[in-house]
Amino acid sequence: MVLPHLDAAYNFARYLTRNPDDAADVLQEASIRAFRFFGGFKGGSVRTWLLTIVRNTAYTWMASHRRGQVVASVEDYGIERPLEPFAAVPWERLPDDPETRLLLAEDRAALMDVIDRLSPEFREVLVLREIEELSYREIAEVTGTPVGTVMSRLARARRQVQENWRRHVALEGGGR
Amino acid sequence: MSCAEKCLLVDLALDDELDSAGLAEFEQHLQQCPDCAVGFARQKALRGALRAQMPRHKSPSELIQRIRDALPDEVPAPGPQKTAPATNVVSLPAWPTVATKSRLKLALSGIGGALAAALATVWFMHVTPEDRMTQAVVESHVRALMSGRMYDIASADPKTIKPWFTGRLDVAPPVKDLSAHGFDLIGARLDYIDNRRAAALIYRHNEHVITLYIFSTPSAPMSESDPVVRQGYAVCHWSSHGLTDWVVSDIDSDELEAFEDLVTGPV
Repeated sequence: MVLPHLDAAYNFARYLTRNPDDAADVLQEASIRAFRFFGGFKGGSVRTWLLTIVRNTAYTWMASHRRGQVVASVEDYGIERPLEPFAAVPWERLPDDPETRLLLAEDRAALMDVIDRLSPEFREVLVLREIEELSYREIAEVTGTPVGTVMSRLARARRQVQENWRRHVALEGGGR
Repeated sequence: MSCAEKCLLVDLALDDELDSAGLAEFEQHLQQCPDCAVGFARQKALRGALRAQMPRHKSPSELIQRIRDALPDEVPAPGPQKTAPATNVVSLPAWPTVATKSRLKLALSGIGGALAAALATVWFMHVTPEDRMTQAVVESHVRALMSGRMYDIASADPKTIKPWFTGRLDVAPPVKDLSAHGFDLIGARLDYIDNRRAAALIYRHNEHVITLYIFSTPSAPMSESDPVVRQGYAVCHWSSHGLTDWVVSDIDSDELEAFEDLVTGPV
């Protein structure tokens, strides 16, 4: 039952740990946990259930195998500030739209870098939403946070990716 | 609802989290608010780009293979089912819909806490030390299979394996060559289970791996258990002469008992 979702589980572990070796270890450990807790599976989506286990395993793993990387906390990123409404963000209207450029399949590595630099709380909701295409409710289940928190973290994650991407494009000399 | 509040709906609209009335209202707002319209278009572009460009990491195939091999073919469905049928068809009971479930939850929330506490107590009393050990050895066995690091020392010779434990354990575990009976010794490792050190001897029988754990238990009375099947693995244990053995494998219970007889029998 778990086997068809191992790719999704690995991908999630890979984004959480940002490292292929750690992701492999996390996936192994998570499979054992899934195996152990299978009796506790209450129905619903197996994938969501497995991703929840992967997430818990990854955080435990990173806490005990921290390789000189400090896992940033929510507070460091000021996530508890109320989210600013869209219109309050001053948009400079560039003719060469950074988002358009992102569509051009250039700088995949740079995009990956932008995503890796997100705090873990932001990165996980972004991956669960954009790659796994989970609903807010399902993401809330996996991350063990209220739906409202999922909502604001996802919005912030997107704003942050957008801002950092713009910065990257600007540093590169405005495109091209 | 003010414009600023409406603008917060951009993400919800993007994620299909608005109901049809909310969506209609939001779309109407977009007509009148250029800021939101531009913001929404940008977010849409970003979403498209992320979905197209974010790498989807594929798991290494040898890792998947190891996990596949380590897990038993068929994990028995939760419940009182004793033997898993040899079929791949997994039939799930009809789960209540989300709506019914949340209504149920609401109805039960009052007594839920007390009930959960009571159940937890029953469960806790229900888990015996034997259950815990069974779970622990099965997990150790599976973890070793999965990691591909089954043994620290590879050898079919008891004379090589036995001295290897000197200094690593406070007992000299008896090691037997059972190859004449179809159980090939392939290696050994030092393991740590339930806060105790154990010698783990690895045997192979046809395509099946058997792990024999040996613990030093100076005060354990002589005893012997019937094999139990846990998550597709047969497990049994026995104690004598200050040692306790636990054996786990995916062979069937009869073969496991045959193995036990060989291990405990005369040399």
